[in-house]
Amino acid sequence: MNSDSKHTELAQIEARAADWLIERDLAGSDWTPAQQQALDTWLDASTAHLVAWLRLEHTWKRADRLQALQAPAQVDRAGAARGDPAAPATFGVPWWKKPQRRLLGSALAGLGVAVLGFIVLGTFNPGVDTQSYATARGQLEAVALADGSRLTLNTATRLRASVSTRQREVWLEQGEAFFDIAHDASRPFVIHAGLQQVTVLGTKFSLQRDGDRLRVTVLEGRVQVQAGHSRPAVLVRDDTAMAEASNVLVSRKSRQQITAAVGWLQGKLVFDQVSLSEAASQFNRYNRKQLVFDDAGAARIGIGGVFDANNVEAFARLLRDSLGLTVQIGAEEIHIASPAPS
Amino acid sequence: MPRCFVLMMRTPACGEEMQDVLMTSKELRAWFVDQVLPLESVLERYLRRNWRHADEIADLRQEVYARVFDACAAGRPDSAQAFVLATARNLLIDRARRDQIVDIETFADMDELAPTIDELSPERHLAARSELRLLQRAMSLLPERCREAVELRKIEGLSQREVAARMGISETTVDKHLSKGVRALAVALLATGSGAAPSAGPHLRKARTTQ
Repeated sequence: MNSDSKHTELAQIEARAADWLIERDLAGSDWTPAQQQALDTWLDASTAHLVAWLRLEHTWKRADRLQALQAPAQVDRAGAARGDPAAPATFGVPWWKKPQRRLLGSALAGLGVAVLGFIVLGTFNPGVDTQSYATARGQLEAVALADGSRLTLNTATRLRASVSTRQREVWLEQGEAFFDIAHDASRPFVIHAGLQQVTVLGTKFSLQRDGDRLRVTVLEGRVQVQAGHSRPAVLVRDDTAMAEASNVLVSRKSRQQITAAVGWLQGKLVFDQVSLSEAASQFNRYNRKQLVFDDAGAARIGIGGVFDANNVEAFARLLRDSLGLTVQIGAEEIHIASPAPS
Repeated sequence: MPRCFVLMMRTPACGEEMQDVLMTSKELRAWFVDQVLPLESVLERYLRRNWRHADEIADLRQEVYARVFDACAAGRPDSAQAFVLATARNLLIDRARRDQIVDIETFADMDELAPTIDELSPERHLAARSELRLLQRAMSLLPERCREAVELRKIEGLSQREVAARMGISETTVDKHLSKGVRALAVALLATGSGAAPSAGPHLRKARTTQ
């Protein structure tokens, strides 16, 4: 050791930065302007203070993502189903510490899956294993299937998959997923989404289910979409379709629009001339903290750009800083309004 | 739609046209978080390879950060990574001179590091895919009581008082655990090669250190 004084000094700076951070975090809305002033003074005092602070603040913000683990027991099931060593079961709030209600709920849900699984196995197709996958709000999860196909589940998504030597099937129960399907002419890959059915051999595409509506976006290959008992429509690269009841509306998009539609694979929301209310409804799919408009005028403003899906607060601040909107960030909601006339 | 604004949240790569542009303090901070912090594992590896006192690595790292931050106030370098490593190298040389260590020339050449850095790219890509899993892994490295406090705060969203009650400790001790927890989490998250936050991951250019 040849720099004792320096060493101690830097360790102290880091400890001080951590203390500030925790103090502000725990204070929440009780954090006073005077406290902020004191913090700013400390940060301005030296670059060493500032970089230590930025580093820890960034870390603490990233840890917000852990919230996803608070969601219903689905998350644990998704991990456990793949025998994933890093699945939530390895740490986090142990199941026995969770509130009783949730425990009961997950037990019932587990029972439901078990019974359903039993019926499927016992009645139709012995030896076929159906696995369930789910993501919590704000979570993105990659799933590898036995046939080499890869799925990516977007926020708040639930699906079941069944792959055997004879067939490949997925039931999209809720949400959105990207499918990168391994080519196999002998086993078409079939996706059921309510009344809609999508059939492919090997291709890349994305499905978003919203109740009875299904949006299909094709990146590669051919995809057959059937709504109810209607005649199937065949989509190719750069096609999108909206399937509802027994109708399928197909439209052709530019490569750029298609790429934008699957921006969520990189955790991005890509907007091109959409209203703020549309943008907000997208953000609200990913974040617990919801965007709320206090007046219709603000909701109608058109915007475009590329944003981090999980950082709704940064988006709100940008609305404030760039568009001059009034933004109030609360614990549960972020209120957006047109600026008050001065 | 009456008006349409185009908002850009971030500039993914620092292109040449951005050189010599004076950054505001806010932009500089954002750039530091987006472009420099994800390099922490690369920086640590470089420092460990070239400095024999392991207990000084954290200090050196902070010193490099401060130097990079100050130097970049006037404009972004072309490559954040090349700049961070060059700063680290200069710092080590300064330290070696000050401590009168003779073999200054033994510091690894930057080009030599390229393979190490390239190995990181797929890792980063992976990081973008499973941020939550990385966090969980980092959390598992925390000391038991720290981890418990962080979990109660971040996952359950409990207040200081509630965390204290649940853990059977005083509120001051809660502060201490959390304060220690965030420092340990920073090391676990940033230094273990999982530096890329989801926003930074796929957009980082493939690392090159050639000048």
